[in-house]
Amino acid sequence: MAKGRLARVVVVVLLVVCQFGLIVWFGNVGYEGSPYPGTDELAEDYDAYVGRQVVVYGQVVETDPVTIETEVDDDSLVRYRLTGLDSDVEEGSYVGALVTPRPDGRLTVRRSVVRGERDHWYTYAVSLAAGLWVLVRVVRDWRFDVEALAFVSAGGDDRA
Amino acid sequence: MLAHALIGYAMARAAGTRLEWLDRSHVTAAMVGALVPDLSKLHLFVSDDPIEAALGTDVELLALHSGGGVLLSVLAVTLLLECTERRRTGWLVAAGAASHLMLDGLLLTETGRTAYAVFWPASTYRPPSPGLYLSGDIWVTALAATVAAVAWWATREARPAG
Repeated sequence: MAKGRLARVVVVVLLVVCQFGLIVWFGNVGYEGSPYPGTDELAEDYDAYVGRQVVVYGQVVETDPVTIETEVDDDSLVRYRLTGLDSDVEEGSYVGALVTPRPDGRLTVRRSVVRGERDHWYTYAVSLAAGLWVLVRVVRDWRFDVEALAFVSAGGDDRA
Repeated sequence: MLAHALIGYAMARAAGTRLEWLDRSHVTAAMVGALVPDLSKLHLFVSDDPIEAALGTDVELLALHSGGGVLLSVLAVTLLLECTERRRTGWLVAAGAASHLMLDGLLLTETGRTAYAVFWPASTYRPPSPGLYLSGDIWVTALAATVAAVAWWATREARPAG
């Protein structure tokens, strides 16, 4: 029993190590795991990406012309002007777009996804609620048995 | 994320009509599975900058949302279960996680493809996405809530609590 328990702990630790390996690996696949360069790359060397496809994401700070602001790797804020955005945006909206950078510093939008500011925060709020809901259920339905180093169902006499 | 939890709940309740051993703790396990891929959302709360500085390389938490990352998470959760529950509950956790990846595969994205590499590290291929909804769409949550409510109602006789 103790031996099996030890083996299990070792395997779990190994899995966590592998998981960490994946996180590092993914950070070095393509553009930090993305098939397209993003705002970090664009901010670093705009000219290198002129005429190519880039994915940008940011919050609208101005609507005429549409300008988005985003935080890049070094924690600085950069702004990009978008042209050819076919959906209406308001200040505060979040825009994700596949764009082609132009030599004049504007980004031509090919495809975009716009999300209102309220929807953005709504998503955060309900996700947090979902996390708490599941956490409460776990605490109610499972308990961690320190002896066995495992979660055991707490519903022994409350099968339902 | 709420929609994922609700769908996990509904699936497990439905499975309970076939699986006699299934109780509310198993429903909870499926819901945990449905949220497992979103471990990657930890990046919203913790900065990866110190890790990147320490390792001198880029890291990307979205790896936890890839097929391989989810598989490792599911295996780790499963191994932390008591041995009598490991096999059957592990499958429920896996089913919950699979439902998450499938539903995310339908998300509207600016690239027209799935939002992340579902098959990574086997492949970086991202299948085209039909773009049915955004994760912040209220109607999606409402629909998932309805499905969950129906699942609860339809199975309440068989399983009064949960």
